[in-house]
Formats: sequence, structure tokens, C-alpha cells
Amino acid sequence: MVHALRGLWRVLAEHGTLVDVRPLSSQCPVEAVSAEALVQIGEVDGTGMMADDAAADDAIRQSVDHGWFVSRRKTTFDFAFYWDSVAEMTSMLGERRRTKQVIPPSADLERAHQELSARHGGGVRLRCRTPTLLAVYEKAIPR
Amino acid sequence: MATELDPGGAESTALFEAAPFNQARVLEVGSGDGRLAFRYAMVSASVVGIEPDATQLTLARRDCPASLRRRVSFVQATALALPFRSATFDIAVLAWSL
Repeated sequence: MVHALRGLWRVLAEHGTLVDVRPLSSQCPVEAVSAEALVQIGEVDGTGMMADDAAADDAIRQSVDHGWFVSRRKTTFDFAFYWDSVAEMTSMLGERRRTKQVIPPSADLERAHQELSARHGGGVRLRCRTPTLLAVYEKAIPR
Repeated sequence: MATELDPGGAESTALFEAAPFNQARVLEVGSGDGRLAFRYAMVSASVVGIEPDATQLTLARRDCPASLRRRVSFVQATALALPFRSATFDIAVLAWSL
């Protein structure tokens, strides 16, 4: 990662901006959402990827220590995923590196989703909001 | 409706607040299917997305809006070996890729 950051330092113009956007390891509620209802029916446990966060943070820290970049700003926001079905959700989460474990099992989520859909006449979607880091750095000239 | 990512645009809003994309030359690392690049490309001077996954590259090139095709390109590469000259870009975005 540090080597990659050195490469980015090289291709950036003087005072160029490096933006690091990435989801943070966390436990995110899975919510069933409709115009009438908002109910938590499960959770995506992403805490198993905390080592990735630490490695990324360490690489950035090293690039700052080397004098390649100066930290300018750091913030977080919620990145929302919406799905029509549990199958869609598990399929997409399975492709994502931050994806770990969906709790409870898919069959239980499916049952809860169908019950809510029946109660509210359909139109119930699934939502997961992931806390996401956005950090900004300015290219510096090492002394 | 199927899957929707960030329909409220929270990521775009945060990005536009974070960096001056207007007329900037932008490199996006881990551009995937181009989802994020397409959001700021309309105001940037140029956008190059690098992505190691050939399937994702194909999707990005296929889905690139016609209005953006002159200033957006996607290249199969990783940040470990950037095929660009020094000082080529004003902004580099690590898009879920660090």
C-alpha cells in the first residue's frame, strides 16, 4: 500500500489532492424500509475486516510521515445500499470485500421481509447504511 | 428497482465538498464499473479510471454515458505500477481501494 501511495504522489501535480474513500469496518443494521415502516430485521457484521482498516490507516500514516502528503480533512458519511430482496442483498454482499456475515441467516431475513411486505402491501425494500470514511490529503514536497 | 447504491448521493456530496473537481484532471484507483467516476466526470476536465478486473472494465466502458466518452477512459492497471507520467493529475481518488 505504501508503494502505491508513493506512485500516486508521483503522478499528482504540485499541490494535488489525494482522496481516500472507503467503507469502515462496522456492524450495520439491515432495515426493511417502506413509506410506512422502518424496521431492523438483521445486521451485517463487518468487524472481521478491521485488520484491513488498520493496514490502510498505517499506510496513509507512513506516507504522511515520509512527507509525501499533508492531511487536510477527514469526515465520515453513511453509504446506503438498497435491495428489493434478500437474494439481491446476499449476492451483492458476497462480492464485496468488506462483506462478512449477515445475521440472522438468509432464510430468517427472507421470512421477516415477506411478513413486512405482506403487512404493508409490498414495496418493502432492504437497506444497509455503511459508515464510510472520506479523507483528503495534499501532495507535499518531502524535505 | 433492483439494487441501488447511494441513491441519496451522500458519497458524491462528500466528494464534491472534499476536492475541487471542476476542470480537474482526475485519476480514480479502483474505478470498478465506473459508478463513481460518472458522478464527477461531468465537471472534470478528464477522468482516467484504473481497475485490475477486466469484467469491471468492460462494464465501465459499456455504461459510460455518450456525453462523457471524450473525457473519461478506463485502463487495466493497479496503483502499484501506474502507467502515467509524473504530475499528470490534479486529483487522485482511492475509490474503496486502499
